[in-house]
Amino acid sequence: MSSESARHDLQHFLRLSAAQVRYRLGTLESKGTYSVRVARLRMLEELIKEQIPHEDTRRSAGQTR
Amino acid sequence: MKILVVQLARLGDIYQTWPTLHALQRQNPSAELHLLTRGTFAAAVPHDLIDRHIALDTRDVLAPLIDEKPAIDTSLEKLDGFCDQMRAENYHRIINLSFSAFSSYLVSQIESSTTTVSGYSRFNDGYLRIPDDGSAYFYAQVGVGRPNRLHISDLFAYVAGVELTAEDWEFGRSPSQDRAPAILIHIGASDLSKTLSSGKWLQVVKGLLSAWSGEVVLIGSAAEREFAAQIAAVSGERRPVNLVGETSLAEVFTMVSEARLLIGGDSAPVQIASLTGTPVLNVSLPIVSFWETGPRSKGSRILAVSAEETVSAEEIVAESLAMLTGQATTAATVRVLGPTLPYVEMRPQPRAFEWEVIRGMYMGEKFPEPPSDLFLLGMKRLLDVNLLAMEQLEVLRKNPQNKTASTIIDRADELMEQIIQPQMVPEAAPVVQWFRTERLRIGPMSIDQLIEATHIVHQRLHDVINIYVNSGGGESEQAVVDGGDDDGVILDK
Repeated sequence: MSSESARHDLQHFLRLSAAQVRYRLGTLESKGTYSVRVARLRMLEELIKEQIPHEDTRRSAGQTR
Repeated sequence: MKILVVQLARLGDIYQTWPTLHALQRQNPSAELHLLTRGTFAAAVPHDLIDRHIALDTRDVLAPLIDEKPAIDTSLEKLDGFCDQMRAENYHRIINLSFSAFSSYLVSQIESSTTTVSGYSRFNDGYLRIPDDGSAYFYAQVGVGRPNRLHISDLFAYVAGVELTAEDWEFGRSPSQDRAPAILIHIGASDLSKTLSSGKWLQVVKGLLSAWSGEVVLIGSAAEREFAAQIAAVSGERRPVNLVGETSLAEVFTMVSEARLLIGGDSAPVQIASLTGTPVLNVSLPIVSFWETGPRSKGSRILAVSAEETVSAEEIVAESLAMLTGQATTAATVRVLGPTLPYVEMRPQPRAFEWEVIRGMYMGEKFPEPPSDLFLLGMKRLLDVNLLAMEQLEVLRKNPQNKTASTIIDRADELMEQIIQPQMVPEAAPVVQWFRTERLRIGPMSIDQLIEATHIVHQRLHDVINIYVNSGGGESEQAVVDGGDDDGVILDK
């Protein structure tokens, strides 16, 4: 398998994972509480995003209350 | 006392953290100092400066996801294990110099109720927490496309609560007379937007080889071999030494420390050169901010170019030779006098007005004269929008459930964002960025406290805007943004 093809597959799996993590987060966050579980899922989501090209890894998305 | 420094960014960031680690060690001689980095970048860790290195093996955490059925729970278990291990260390201080969303969550999961944190973390409701003014400055003003002129190394030190001295920059230096007659060129092709084309590098190498009797050595990673091969294929009696993909990071460190000159873009070798006192000719393309990540070693020069076409190979060669022979600069944008001294601009740089506004807001300097009537108009619009928001806050004080008032406040935020767009009044961006960051820093509290805290930030914005609006643009008063207990001067430089 060429390195380009391997890179493409890697990106595919990472995006797939990111979508699944986001789905789980949506379910938990709809309940309105922030838990350790939510924090760990968000950590994993951010870790995945860092590996996807063109994702801005320096800017930490913050939201005002 | 146990201190953790979190540096989960890239190779260059780790090297830019070295001076802060040295200063922390110097100022806390009895403390136990730990450094957390990615496992991939372990070769850049300065073991002499720390008591323990902790590696986050990102690949191991993500490996279970590389499958048509990603094993998310397995990855989560790995993260759980890592967080539990880190939390058990019970750090007195955590200094997060990563400035990323991931690191903010990580720190929030490993800090204890008695840990002092600087750098990004999270509140217990998941919102971003920015506990210190240095990190707030970073969030508001730092990044490509922003007018910040503070160097990342200095910002790291500020966040860590240390002051850098000259000795914090001295690592593995060869006295200049002992340096080998070699010019290193880091072609930096791992990110093509940060480097010159192979054709231009080829011309630079040819020019150097014909004008200088010493060695010209190409360095870089294995991924850059093909790129380097195009450059190394220069015809003629003399050829460059091509070590691209042939050296370890430790070997690159030694080579840089012994070289007479390093030529390169924004890259780890340039950061290494800052630590070893090796002069650098930094060819800086617009995708990076040389103010933030440029070389700090004495005698370095920065050629900030708007595009590759605006700098010729001859100019780069001429500047290199001038540096080697101690001649005055011909084309350099900036001269570097040393790691603890500010850059010397050889020609005015863009966005100077916004930088002066930043100095006014954060450093107690005099605010600059308004650059245009459009800017004054923009500030007046900001004033109007801010007053509208403050009026709605008064409505919310009486009735916190008033949805109309909340909607209007959200709309005010959108209007502020529109005012600072490039086609409107971008010069006002530092003010709005500061305001948004201060709003972000408001922590979890009762609705009444939240309204009051928000009102205070809006009032401070009002005070800053009034410097221009009330004076009618005739005089710019000195003013500070009162960030806390330090009499309003947030940064010393």
